[in-house]
Amino acid sequence: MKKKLVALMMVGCMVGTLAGGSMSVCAAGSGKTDTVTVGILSDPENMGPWSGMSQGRIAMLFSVYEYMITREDGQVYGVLAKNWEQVDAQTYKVELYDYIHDAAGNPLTASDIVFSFESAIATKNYGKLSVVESVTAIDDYNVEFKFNKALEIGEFENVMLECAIVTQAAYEASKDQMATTPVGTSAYLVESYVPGSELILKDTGNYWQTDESLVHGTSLHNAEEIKFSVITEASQHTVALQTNAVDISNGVPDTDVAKFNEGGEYSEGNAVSIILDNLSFDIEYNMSDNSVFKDDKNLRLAMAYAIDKEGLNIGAFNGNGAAIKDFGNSSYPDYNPEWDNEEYFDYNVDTAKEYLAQSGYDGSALTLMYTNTGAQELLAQMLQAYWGQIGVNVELLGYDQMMAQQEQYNPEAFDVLLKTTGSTDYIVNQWKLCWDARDYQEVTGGTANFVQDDELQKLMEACLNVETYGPETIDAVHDYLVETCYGYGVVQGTINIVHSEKISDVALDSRKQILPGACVYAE
Amino acid sequence: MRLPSFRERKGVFILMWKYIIKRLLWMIPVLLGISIVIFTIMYFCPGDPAASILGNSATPAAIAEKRAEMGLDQPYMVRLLSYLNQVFLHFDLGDSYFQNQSVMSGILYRLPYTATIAFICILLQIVIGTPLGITAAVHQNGLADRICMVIALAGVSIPGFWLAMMLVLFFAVKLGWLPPYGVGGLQYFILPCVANAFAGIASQARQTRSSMLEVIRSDYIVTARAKGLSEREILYKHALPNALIPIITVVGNGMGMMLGGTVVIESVFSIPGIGMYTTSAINNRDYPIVMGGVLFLGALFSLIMLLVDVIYAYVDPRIKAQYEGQQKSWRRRKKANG
Repeated sequence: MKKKLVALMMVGCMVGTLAGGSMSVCAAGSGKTDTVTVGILSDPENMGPWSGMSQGRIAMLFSVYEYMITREDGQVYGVLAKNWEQVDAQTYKVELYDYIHDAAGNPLTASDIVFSFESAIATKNYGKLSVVESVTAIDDYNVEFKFNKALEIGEFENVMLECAIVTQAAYEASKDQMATTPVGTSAYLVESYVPGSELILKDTGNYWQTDESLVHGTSLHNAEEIKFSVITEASQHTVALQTNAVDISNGVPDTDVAKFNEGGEYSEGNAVSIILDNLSFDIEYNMSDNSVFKDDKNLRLAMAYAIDKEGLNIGAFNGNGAAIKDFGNSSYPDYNPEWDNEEYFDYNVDTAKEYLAQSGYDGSALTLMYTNTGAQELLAQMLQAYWGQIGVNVELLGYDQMMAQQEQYNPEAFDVLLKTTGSTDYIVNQWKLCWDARDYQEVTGGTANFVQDDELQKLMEACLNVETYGPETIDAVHDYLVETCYGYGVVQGTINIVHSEKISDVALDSRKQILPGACVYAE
Repeated sequence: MRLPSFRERKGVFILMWKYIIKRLLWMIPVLLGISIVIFTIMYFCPGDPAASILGNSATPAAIAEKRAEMGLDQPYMVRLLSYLNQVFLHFDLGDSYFQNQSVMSGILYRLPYTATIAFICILLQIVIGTPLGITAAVHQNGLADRICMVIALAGVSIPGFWLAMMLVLFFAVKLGWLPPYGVGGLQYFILPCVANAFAGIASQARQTRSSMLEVIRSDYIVTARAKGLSEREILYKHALPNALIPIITVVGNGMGMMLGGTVVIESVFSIPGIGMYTTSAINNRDYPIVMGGVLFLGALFSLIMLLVDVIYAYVDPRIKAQYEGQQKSWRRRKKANG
């Protein structure tokens, strides 16, 4: 296969920018502050570069570590990687900047990249790295990545974004494998850490990338000092913002957010940034052999037409979210805007009742399983009401995230599943999280929701394949999912960031976590 | 009255130590039981730490591989025996799945926060609850009794979580006197301790009142009054010491409640103690921390209850006499056997 620049391929794929939920990219050097305090809901626990993911850890990750590349507004930029190219179907070559050093001053070379990837792979904590066959240093600043299969769309970038990079020297100098004293290549070093309470990062003033035009969002350092304050109780986030103990938080309960809006009880000195989430709330029918939905498309359609998606948006997100027209949402660069004008199970009680009459539904109670977080709880109750009005009796079954994650592969556990899915890159990779049977075959015998459909699998593989990925194959999957109604998206949620007016522009990373170093400050 | 001889005192002392050692040995099956119960609960508890580590987008295959690496695919008995072996033969509570740290060092790091809260709470319980109960008993059915009992009723009825938030809103938000959450100086412990101790104060007051009322009606108190002793003397020299046993029991149980109560209070006030350590581990299904935390608190509570039993012997002459009696009969048996 001819060599081709991956960057060029990406440009071809990414034509749009992310809507609403996009990262606010700040110009380096503008709007700085001495100190910013971020309220987070969980302790980072272990700040080592390759430990297991947790809610607290994800909040500080991009402030301490850098990755080979970054993704902003649907575009991919190099961070440590200066250039990269595809050598053949399973081999990529990456060139590094030759002047990188970590926050402790250790120079970073290709051997450190090899060390970082090999260490991360050895932990088995990163499923996306399972495609890596080998990582080899060609010379001091060039690394070769060999993969164990031809990569699919977005897969190379995901590998590059999965592994935090550190120097071997710094890692080996750490007494606790960087669990409490992480040293990455970002501008920040840990000043102090009180487990379970507070983490303070300080700008070293010695960031390696001196060309400001090459500093992207995740690497910006607009705050001299970043303080992460662990506040485990959500209502205490409201108190912390009221008392100016923190400057920014995404942990304020939904019921309190309105109080910080203009004219609200706590609006003085505070503001709310409502950002569209990259996650979509989807409905998946249980399509296993014993399920009532398996051979009853009319029942599937009846329940789909009974849902007022705009009603869900208003009820759960005060209308700030978006009713969606696909299994994914419109924030992806490969979302086809024409879908917005198409019929997508648009709310129609009469149509729903007609389909129900033609179905074999016998009035028995169906179980709707969901994760019992605030928004999903509300959505589940509304769905129960919508389905109730056409005569479908639904019982609610709410689980905590861990339990729901496990029970979703149990065909006896539910009839309908309300789930959030989302990807940080393309809509096809969001679809993959449910519809690619290759990932779920061993457990479900088909897709994540037990669908066994060769045609769907063929279409999925076509849209994921780099060679055939494009509008035609993407449309084909979308149309097929609409036609079969195995599952569908209902609403795109929001992320509510409450912050003091000291912050004029909020920046989020691709996982929708606050990037305090990249926010723009008014002072 | 003849004072006990040195030999008699030594004998009682030896018997006490025997009793303490016996109780300490009894702790082994208790802790073994706790370990088996908590391990079994965690084993059958749905949710998968491997899935938690790998995140939402992990495929079932990746999760299965991680489970195998963590040994979570082993049968129940294999995992249980391995855990018991690790805890009871190697004194190792294991390592956290998420933190690069042994559970014991994590617990010991957090113990001072939990211990501080529990200690202050128990102090508040004794210092406020006992006088409240005495006052109520002395003024039975009077205004003071009713006020004390209303306070006690409020204490046992109000949920600690709700009280904590009310205290935060008033003292931190409205008045700005105290910090709403976090750790630092002593001021950070005031609101959590008051919120956590309120129920304990109430129980203490109710128990003290009930014990005191029982004692106050006894014949020897009537005799003391007939002898012309002052009310103060009767109360503190004759009534209170005899009412102490149930009061001390409540204090001991209260210590257990305080340790358990910190789970909620630490989460509300973001105090990085053992309670918060364990709660966040439950959410992540970090089994070693949950099991280690419960086991540690269980051991601590057993020790506290042992301490309570030893204190009984010192405050209650009847129990002391029982030990002395045992010592005498032991000597008689020894003499009879030559």
